[in-house]
Amino acid sequence: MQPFIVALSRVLALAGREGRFLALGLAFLALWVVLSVGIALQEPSLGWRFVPDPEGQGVLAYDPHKAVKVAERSQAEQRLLAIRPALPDATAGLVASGADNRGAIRLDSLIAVEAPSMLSRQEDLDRFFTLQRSVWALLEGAMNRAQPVEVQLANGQWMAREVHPRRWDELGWLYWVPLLCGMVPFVVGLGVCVWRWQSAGARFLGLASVMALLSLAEVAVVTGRLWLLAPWFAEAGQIFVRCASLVAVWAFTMMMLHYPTPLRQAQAWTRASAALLVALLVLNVLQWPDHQTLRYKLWLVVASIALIGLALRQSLAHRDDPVHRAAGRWLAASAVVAFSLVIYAFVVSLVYDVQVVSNSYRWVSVPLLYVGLMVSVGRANLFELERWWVPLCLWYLGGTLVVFTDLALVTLLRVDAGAAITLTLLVIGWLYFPARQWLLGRLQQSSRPRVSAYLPDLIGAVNAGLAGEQASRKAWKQLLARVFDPMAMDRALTDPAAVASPPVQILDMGRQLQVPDIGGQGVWRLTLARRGRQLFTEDHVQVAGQLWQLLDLGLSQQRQTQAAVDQERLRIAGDLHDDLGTKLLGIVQAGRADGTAALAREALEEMRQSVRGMAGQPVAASDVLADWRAELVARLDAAGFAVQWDAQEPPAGLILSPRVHLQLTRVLRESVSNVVRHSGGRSCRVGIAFEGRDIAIDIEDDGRGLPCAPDAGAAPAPAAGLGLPNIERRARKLGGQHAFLVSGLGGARVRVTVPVEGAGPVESVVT
Amino acid sequence: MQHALIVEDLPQIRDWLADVARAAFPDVQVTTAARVDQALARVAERAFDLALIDLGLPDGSGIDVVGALRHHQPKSLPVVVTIYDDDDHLFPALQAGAFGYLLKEQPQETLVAQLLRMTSGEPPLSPPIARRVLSHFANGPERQKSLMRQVENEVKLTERETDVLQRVAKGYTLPEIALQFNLSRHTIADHIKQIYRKLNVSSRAEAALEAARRGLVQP
Repeated sequence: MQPFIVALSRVLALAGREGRFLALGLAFLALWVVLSVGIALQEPSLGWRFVPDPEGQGVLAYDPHKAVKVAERSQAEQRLLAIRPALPDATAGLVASGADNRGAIRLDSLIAVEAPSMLSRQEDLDRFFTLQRSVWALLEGAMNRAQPVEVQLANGQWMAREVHPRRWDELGWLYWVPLLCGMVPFVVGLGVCVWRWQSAGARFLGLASVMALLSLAEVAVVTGRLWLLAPWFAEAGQIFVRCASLVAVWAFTMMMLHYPTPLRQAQAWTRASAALLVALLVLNVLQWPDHQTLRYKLWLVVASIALIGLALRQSLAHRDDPVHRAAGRWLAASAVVAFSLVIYAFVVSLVYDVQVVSNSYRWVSVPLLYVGLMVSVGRANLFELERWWVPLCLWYLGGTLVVFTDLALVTLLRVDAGAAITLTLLVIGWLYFPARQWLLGRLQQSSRPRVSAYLPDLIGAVNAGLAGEQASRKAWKQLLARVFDPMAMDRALTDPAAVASPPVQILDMGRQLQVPDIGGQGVWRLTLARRGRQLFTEDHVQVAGQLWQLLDLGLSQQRQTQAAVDQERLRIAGDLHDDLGTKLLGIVQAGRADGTAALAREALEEMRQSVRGMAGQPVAASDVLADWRAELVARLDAAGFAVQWDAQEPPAGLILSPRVHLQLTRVLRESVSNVVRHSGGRSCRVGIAFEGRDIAIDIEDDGRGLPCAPDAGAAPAPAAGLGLPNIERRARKLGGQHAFLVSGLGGARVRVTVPVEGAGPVESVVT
Repeated sequence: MQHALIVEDLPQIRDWLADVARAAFPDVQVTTAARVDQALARVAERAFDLALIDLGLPDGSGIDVVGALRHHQPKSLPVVVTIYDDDDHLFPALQAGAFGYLLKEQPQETLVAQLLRMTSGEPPLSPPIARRVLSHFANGPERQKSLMRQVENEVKLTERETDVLQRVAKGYTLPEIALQFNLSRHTIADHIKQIYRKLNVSSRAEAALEAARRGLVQP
């Protein structure tokens, strides 16, 4: 004992608060089990288990090891009518009859009733206890004197029988099953409490589960006995189990009051009902009033009605919340399955007109109920149920159909029990299973998204990648929205180093689905599928994962192609620089005053621009504007012009394609060259404006104007040599417009307007 | 300017660059090299005040020469001479410690003027380069904060330097920026020189850290 306590205290010191709670709970469980077993083993045994004889007087005696099911009367070893102490020198075996009556006790069959709570009349109950006490005293006395007792058999003969303390192997299933049925809820309740102590529902569930252990331990002793209850225990146990049941139903009712969310004035109701409960407990302990109905049974009914009412109330209040709904479904499913077991047992006994199993096995429904409650209150993987709910219902329906068809055949059509079950199975097999198959298929088709249905969109998203990451991101977002129709969609940035191992995962108990975003730095968090009506399930994870895999594959293929293209462009660019560039450079060096050098220099610059346009990347419009400004202002400045730079701020995030960038740069350069070389003016204005989806550039000066300034309406025919046809060509290439006008400043004015090609504004990224 | 090093593989251009150097600094002594290994040998032999270095050399990149010069002769002035004008080619050279760049095809007078501007302490700075520098400093020291602490003060841009860079990045010319800050052009040039120096220091520190990190990973 000492080392055990030391070890226990060490474990407690090591464990955290939750660990201590858990350890204490398990210690309590062990203590209670030991106590229950101890009480059960007190019973003096005759080596028989007794049941009442349903057809007459006395009790039937069975081998305690064979008491798994309620045996038939013919299988009983003996039928006993009375019991009396043996003579001091008696030995086991038949005893000569006709001897004196030595205080024999007539064995009323009710002494072996399964549980005294089954006796509804008070006089029966009193008789039961009296009989129990006297037989116990007789057996205990004999056992203490190490003498046998004599029992009267059905034929009136007396037989001596050894009395011994009940042995372990005489406990039997009828004892262990209820006890285990009490232990399971306790462990479940303990777990839920440790895990979700902050939830009032969990705490009440914990209380109810403690009561389940307490009362089922008592039930195990009572129904699992051979036939006798310890005198000190018989009545006290009754009171105890009644109190525990009252507390348990109260706890259940309170759980429904608080779970999933507290109903109005929950606290006041809790306090008032707790006061009532205490009063009832006191009354039950005092056994007043005499009638059990008033102090016990009535209140069980009241609590059950309240429980059902509150459950309805809660489910109505939360019918739109998929999480609560799923939790409620678990609850309902476990309750239905648990209670069905009891009902099935009843139906089967009705059909076969025989009680197949002992009542004590109905306690199996208790742990079932608690497991369902644990899932519901503990909120573990509720989203899984979303997937199983329909098959579960169909499965249950199938089982129920079998039972009730069988029952109907037997009771309504008077079919023989054996034929009825065959007939039932035939009917169910031919009709129900195909119907179920069809229904499941239909439901799956409608509720489960299929990848194949979204392949066109997926290909669209991959192709959008050609227009840049932004475009494919947008397409991916739209695809996700189409597939899952979520209530909300948020983009979150993740640490690229901490990328979640499964790319797609369920968060927050199925409320959210996390799907990666293109680019590797962000994720999409989808909240509640089908506009909030559905939790995310493994099906969704699968579909999203497959879609993502396909998209990722497509995009990475595309990236590889793009990288190869880029590499090739870079190679061409390098070759151009190294070969053509170097030769042009040679011309520049060799060029004399005849302008060859200038021409070669221009050619080199042109080549550079072309290469850049070819190998270039899309550039932010604001950067392009800055580059233009730096170059043109410096150039005009150096040529002695007063510069007026009127550039609008580009729309936030606007990107220019390499083509637009290059052509507009050339237009600007050529125009500014004209101003510097030919205008003869002193000042120059450069205007850049963004008009709708167009970019407009405007270069004007105060010089002598274009040689052939267009009159209104006349087609412009500007002089050659100014590069104006080039400007026109470039504008047309980009699908834009150009105009050569007279400037308000007095000189020439060149205006070019081109659309900013498909490169739409960048979506701002949530950071 | 007493000694200039010209590193260029094409003889014609090499001679022409020598002419440019002499035009800018009449009594300069010119040493030439056609390859990286030659250039490194020259650098080991003597001190240069100025170096005009081509990037694409037969046996390697001129950037290595820039780096060597920066390392062994901190007072010298390496200038990159190239046919590429894009920041993808120029920025690494600037990180390695080049003090500016010249485009080969420009007329001699322009090159001379630019060279004189650089030697008087005003390196060129285009908006794309300014943007690269800004993003380098925005990410660099943050990335490896703890290890960078030792050089932090040296490699952190001052507020004014950042301001200048931001304005260059927006396309303002240096005279305009001087006017906006109400500073002399000379002061702005000083800021830009500092920016170039810090870019070089921080790039070298980062490279050293990177090397150390790899050393730790692969002993």
